[in-house]
Amino acid sequence: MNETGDKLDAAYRALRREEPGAALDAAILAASRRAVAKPTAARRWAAPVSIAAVLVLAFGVTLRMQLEKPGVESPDVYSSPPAAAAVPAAPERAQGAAEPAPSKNEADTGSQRGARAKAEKKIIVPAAKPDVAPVPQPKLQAAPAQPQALEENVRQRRDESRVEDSKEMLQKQKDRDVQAFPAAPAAPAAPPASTAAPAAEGRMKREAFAAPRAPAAAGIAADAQAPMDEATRELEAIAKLRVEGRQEEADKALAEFRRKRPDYRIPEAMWERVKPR
Amino acid sequence: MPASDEQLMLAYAGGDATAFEALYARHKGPLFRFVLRSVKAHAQAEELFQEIWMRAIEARVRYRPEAKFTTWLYTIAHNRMVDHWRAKGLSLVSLDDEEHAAAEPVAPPSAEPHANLEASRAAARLSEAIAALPLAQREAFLLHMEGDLTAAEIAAATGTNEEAAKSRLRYATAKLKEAIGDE
Repeated sequence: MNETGDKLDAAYRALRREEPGAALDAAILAASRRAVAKPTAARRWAAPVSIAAVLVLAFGVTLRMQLEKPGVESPDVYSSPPAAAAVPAAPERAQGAAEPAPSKNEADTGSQRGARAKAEKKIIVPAAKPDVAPVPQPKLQAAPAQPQALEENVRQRRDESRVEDSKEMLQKQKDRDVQAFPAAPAAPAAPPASTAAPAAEGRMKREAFAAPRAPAAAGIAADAQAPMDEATRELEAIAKLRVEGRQEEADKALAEFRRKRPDYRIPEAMWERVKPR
Repeated sequence: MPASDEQLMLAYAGGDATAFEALYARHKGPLFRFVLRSVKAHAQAEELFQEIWMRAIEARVRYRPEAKFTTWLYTIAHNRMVDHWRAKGLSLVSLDDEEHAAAEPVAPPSAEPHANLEASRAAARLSEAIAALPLAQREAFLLHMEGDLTAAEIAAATGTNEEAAKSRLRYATAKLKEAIGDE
């Protein structure tokens, strides 16, 4: 279709036929290639990169979990510090606010600090009312003068507090058992000591020192710790017998405990309380 | 049988870069002349030409084959030219004949020097007449001559109705014929 006429058309076609420069051509063609190449490359790499990232993440998490697991159950971690940790916390609770904590200046470990922090929380409450309980005040002044008497006093209070702690722990454990197994029997039987002994030993240590200070955390896996709690309960009962002066019964119970659990390693702190006297 | 413009454009939108190369080779000359004869300077024409193609590249996924490719391409060109003219305050721009005359290739020796001279003069008159056309008429004429668009397609590309496009083309043709002595 020619709407301009032949002569005009011919005259126009006779005009110079300009073209864009080669550099301009190259720039436009390069841009056109980039426009379609970019998303293709992204699509090509998106899936492999995502999979690789997930694998690396999963591997890292698994490795970390495996590295951390033996550390938690290692006997070395809890072999000696818990004894030191359990001792200072108890007298602090028993002595109340006015009496200075005897172990406050001792070297701290992480677990000791945690235990103390909890104990100190309880101390703070009466300390806010010094006028209500002025009686312990002279003790503060007398303490440096009579270190032996104070030590004796502390030991006595420590024993008392242990009994209180044991009662508390037993009560909390009962509560947990009721919550975890409302319709189940009170406590399952202890597993065969020969097969479950190493794992149970690690858990026992953890429970023996962590449960009285952090019952909520221990309650999370109540079902898994049931056999261990049974042993603890028995030991606590023996300790109670010792405190009540029923040494023969305690000896018998301890012998029975040993017979039932020949491989069970009684934690040091617990042994101090249940050993024959 | 070579692929149509529409097929090439669809292939390019699907990721085939070579389809665009074929499309560009077909249309780069006419589009460049359309832009060059619409604006004053060569450098400006190159810049506008590049921007038009960039817009076409960016809009590739929105291309639908219902429209003729040239209509679609010259619609993009028209929109870019409108932006350009707006930036210039809608002033009429003319083709700088003297600037291009310097770049004209030397005509080869001919057995009919008088005929060549007459042809050169006619081309110069035509170029001047094109540059002197009102903006809308010049655009319609160039779209018809370079883009090979019909009046209806010119109307579609410039966003006007077909009658207006026909009218512009008719006026432009009449003026240019008068300028080259073809009345």
